[in-house]
Amino acid sequence: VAGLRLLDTLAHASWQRPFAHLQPSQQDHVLMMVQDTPHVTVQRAFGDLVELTLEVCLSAPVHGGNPSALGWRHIGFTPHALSVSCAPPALCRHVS
Amino acid sequence: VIDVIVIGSGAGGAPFACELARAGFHVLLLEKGPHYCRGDYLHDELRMRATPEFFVPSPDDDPHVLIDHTSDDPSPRRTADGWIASCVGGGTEHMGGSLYRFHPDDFRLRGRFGDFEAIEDWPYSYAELEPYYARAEMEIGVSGGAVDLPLLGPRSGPYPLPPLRSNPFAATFDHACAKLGLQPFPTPRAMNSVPYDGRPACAYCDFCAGYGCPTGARGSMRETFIARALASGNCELRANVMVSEILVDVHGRAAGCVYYDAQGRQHRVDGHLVAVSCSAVESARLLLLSRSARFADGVGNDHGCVGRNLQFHTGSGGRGCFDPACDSRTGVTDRNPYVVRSLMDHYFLPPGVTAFPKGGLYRFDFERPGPIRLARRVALNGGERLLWGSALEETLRNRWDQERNLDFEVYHDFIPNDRTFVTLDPEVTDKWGLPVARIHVDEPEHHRSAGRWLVEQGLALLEAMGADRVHDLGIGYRNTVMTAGTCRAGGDARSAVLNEYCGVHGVPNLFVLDGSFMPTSGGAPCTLSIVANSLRTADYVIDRARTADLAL
Repeated sequence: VAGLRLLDTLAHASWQRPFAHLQPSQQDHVLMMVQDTPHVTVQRAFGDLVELTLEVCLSAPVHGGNPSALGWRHIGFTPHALSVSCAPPALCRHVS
Repeated sequence: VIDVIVIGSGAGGAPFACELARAGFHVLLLEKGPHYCRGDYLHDELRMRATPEFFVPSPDDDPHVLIDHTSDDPSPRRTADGWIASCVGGGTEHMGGSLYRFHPDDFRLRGRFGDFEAIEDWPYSYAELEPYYARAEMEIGVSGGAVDLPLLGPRSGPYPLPPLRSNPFAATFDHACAKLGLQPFPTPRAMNSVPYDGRPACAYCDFCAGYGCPTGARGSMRETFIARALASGNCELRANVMVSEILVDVHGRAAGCVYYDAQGRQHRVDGHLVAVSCSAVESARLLLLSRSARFADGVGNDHGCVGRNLQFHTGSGGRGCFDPACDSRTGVTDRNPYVVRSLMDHYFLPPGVTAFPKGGLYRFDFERPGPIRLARRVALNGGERLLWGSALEETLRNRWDQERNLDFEVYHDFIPNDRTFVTLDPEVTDKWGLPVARIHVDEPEHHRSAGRWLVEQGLALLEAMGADRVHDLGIGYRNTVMTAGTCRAGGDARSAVLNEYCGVHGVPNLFVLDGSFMPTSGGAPCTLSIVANSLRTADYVIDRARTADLAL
């Protein structure tokens, strides 16, 4: 969370706006500044951010970060069983 | 009144429960883990990472203790190693499902090759198990091609389903094999190549081994034997119950068991016959936990044999990277993940390779990294500057179609030895307050020397196929998702826990049905052999009950 606040701080410093309101190219610029910060904690936080983002966008659609498998399609991952992957767990029937 | 109590619902327990229920006996099937259904199984890497205890208990509340004599630090440590899966259906719920039969000589390694470490012959032959292999394949729905190769044991009939559809790249594989004088055959898989038994054909998705199957195309125990057992009306399944003790009566016969339900309440159930099938580690532990006036050191343990000769599986592997941009190799860009090819040519080793002439079985398939794992690998960029944003997207998009890794895994024997065994831990207890299993493990040098040679042959084949780069994926490593050996079956009660029908010596109505019975656990995955053996024991028990009391 502290790392995410850093993004807003840097965004405000350059463009007087929170990170989420910046143009994509401006966001990239901020992220580049973070990645180039020669500080172990910042570097690690940046690595975590990338990893978590990948998990959000590329996990099963049911979690919400990959609606209609958009994230999968975006990177060219099209499992044969895409329809299966998106099926809701409605057929559940426990015996005991 | 309950006729048969079956403890554990995996490859050993489920077929037995089903056969006895279909024969009209009243069966109670107890399972420690939850009862998942198709809808619980998502194609999702995140869930498997975020909830590792989905299949395997957490080392915090339900550990094994491992003493690893192959490591620099053999002090006891908590581990999840040796757990296969705690859920209805057991390990067959997340298996890759390559269901090979053993080679006829796997039943008589000592007879053929002489003494080595603690190997011993099986109490019965391939020929005796063959009809049960055939039945197991039919009940599960194994797809495969019955090729006439001398290395494959004789078959009484074809596979019930044709082989899975293979990626066009398999032609390149077959061609390279022919050049090298090797004889590939279609991998037998517990996956429907066509609709079978009311279940759909495989969707050829990119998730399989390690995940539950959301369509039911994979013939897990839950989809097959357990479904049929429940349909018979004679089998009651209780999930989320932890059996803590097998009870014996004053005559030293099994009388029932004690279990904890999900709320931690203790229950006692009585039955005429008890079958234990909790995996080789946990079945040994349950026998050792079941102490009584008659069995002071645990039921079946009069000669101190319970827990000895634990076997995992040994694995070696390699990878060939194929870049389709280099030439027009058919099929590298086809998304079908299965080449459906196996090799048994190196099941026995030529002289001079290692101390014992037993090699292994190769399975070839494309790597299926999953989107998150592949994205992470690309982002890490080989330790260089982390890739993200549009650079990552661009590289990733091309990667799906531009690079394909053909992997092989060699399954080879874990040689039973005196240094690898299970006892009760003197200190650590689980969340029910019961002593946990303490696993000692050591590996003969043979595992690595055989693995090295096997990997060399595999990489040479990938190079003959025209791989751009090849490298190994581990040599003679320990694969702990298959376990065997802790209650050896044999004729002599002083050296074997079980008789040739997997009944405990001296306790005629107590059986152990998982991989525990195996004197040696084969150079192929042991799942199909566990199922076939369970059917064999079921036949024996049903037959015996015709002329005598079930509890005999």
